[in-house]
Amino acid sequence: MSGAHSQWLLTTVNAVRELMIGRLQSRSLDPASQRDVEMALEELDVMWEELQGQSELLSRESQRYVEFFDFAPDAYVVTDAGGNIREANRAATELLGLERASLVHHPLSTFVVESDRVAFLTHFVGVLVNKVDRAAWEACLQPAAGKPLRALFSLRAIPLSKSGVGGLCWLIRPIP
Amino acid sequence: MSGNDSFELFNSVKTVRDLLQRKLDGGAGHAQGELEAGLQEIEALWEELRQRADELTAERQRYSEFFEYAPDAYLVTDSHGTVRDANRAAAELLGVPARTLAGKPLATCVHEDGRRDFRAHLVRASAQTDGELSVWRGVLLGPGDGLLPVQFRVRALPVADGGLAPLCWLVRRT
Repeated sequence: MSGAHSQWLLTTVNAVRELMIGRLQSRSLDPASQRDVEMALEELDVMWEELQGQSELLSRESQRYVEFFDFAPDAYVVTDAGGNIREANRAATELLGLERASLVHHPLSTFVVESDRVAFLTHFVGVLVNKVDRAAWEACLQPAAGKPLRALFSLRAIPLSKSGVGGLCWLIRPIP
Repeated sequence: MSGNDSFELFNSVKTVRDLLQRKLDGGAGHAQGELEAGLQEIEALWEELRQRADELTAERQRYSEFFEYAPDAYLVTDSHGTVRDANRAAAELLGVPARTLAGKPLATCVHEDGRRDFRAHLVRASAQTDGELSVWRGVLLGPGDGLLPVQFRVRALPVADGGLAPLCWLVRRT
């Protein structure tokens, strides 16, 4: 994800730089213009290094937060305000027993055993209606395969900058 | 890195482009037409580059929010347990601003009686480089030195060169 972006970014940066150098060098200019162009290219080189450094930093910083999510010690999913899964980390794919691509767009409540689903949704609707920004409750989790298990669902809302809910962060932890 | 740095990135891009435009306007003589065509190609690539940088910035923002708004206290430390990042729930649990936690050994937030035990667990957790979860209980010092019984859930981040891995901590009251 981030790594690919960063690779693409740097490849583009190099392509642009080489294109410019090529264009300028292939022209026969008078000595004064030639000197001006060479100076411009040197300045370009310096800025390019700086630019590369900055884009690497941007990419590293982004990658760092991606890892914090992906390797969070517990199952971590992010849903929209309707409870549909938008993101899932590694522990979540292990706990729920599905690949990330299969988890996305599923309502999280489909992983709650049927007899517990109404109670689960009641908690969830209560959070939305009362605009609570965090809550936790227990429910019986039903992974894609295997036996159901008791789990603690903790949630916290990501506020939108203006109003409402930008997303819901859920940690799901089996109860021994 | 902050929004400032990405602003600087765009600024540098613009500076380079303007600089080249100026040099070409002044000194390229008969090569003007060819070089202008080159500049146009560059502008198109530049626009793509800017969009990629926007995407990276948006991705960073999105995932940093997942850290910030994790429902439980979430801290990232180095392999010795010195705090590098702490989220809102961590700051709320310990009753201090998140920024004051950075650079602090997490052991200093643990009740004195349990500190030796905490350090032993920490050493074992940072030796778990296979991504296994380490779980143990302890007592933290909360606001006003109140005692907070908690469970620590710790996983080491993978490192490419087999070096010392940062540790991800979820801490929840028991």
